[in-house]
Amino acid sequence: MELPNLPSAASLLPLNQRNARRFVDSFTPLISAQLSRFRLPHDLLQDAVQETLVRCLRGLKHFRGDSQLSTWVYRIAYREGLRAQEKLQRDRSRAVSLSPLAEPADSAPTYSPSFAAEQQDEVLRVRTAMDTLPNEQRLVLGYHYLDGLSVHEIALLMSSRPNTVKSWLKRGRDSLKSTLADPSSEESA
Amino acid sequence: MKDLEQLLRDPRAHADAPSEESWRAWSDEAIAKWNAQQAQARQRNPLRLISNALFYAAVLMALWILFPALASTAEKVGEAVGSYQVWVGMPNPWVIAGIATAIAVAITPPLRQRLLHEIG
Repeated sequence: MELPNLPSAASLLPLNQRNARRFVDSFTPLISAQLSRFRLPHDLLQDAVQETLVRCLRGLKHFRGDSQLSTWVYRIAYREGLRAQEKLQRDRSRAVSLSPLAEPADSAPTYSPSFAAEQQDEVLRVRTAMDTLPNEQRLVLGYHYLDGLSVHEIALLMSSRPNTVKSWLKRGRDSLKSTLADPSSEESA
Repeated sequence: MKDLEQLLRDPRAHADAPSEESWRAWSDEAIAKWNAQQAQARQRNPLRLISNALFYAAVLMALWILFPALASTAEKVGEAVGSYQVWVGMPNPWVIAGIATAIAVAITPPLRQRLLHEIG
């Protein structure tokens, strides 16, 4: 993983106020960007980022350096992201069960036709298509292409096997290609 | 259409990252939460020390009661077992207490660290 300008674990110890601030300033953009890919509402995203930071600060003095500090932080953020998604699903199912007339909540954000019409930019078309992917496929595409994590690093942080990660990557790419090749399926997503 | 892999390397293709203003506010709150937890942990420390002390005292008491009882039982079974009392040398309960404390210190990281800190 190539993430420049991140402090090493050794340089952050002892974990006083100054070093805690250094850690937070260095890693918060990374954690926020990673967790925003979980498609969480703003309040849950905020909670997940803060919880990740607090967990990292609590655990930093016990960090043994078995992996890179950034990998360790990614792993904690990934678990927080999953927890937040579970909470979101629980809340949504409770809301649906309380109001039977309410429309079922969709995990993927919906776009108005006018918004879809504005998606001329190829990058934004990819993003719209990404919303149709299952969670794992969307996340591994982000980890691999955006964060530059290797298949083994992704497998480690997602507690999965490298072959499974490769399969998610392939299926994600294939789905995106077919969605982008067929604009009608993209608009209906 | 550009190459898909090239498009996937663009952050905009994944999600809107929170603004700098947002994440700076979140990190300030996280630091404040962490500070509050640290302060709470420091306040809890004396209580934890007392509860640890009570726990070890209870363990020592149990050993003090258990060992003579074992010795006494061994004495009764003596011939068959070969007299546990003789093998143990009927140690003074304080010796047993000392051994138990040494084991407790050795296997309990916080106590070991505290002891090493005091010595070092």
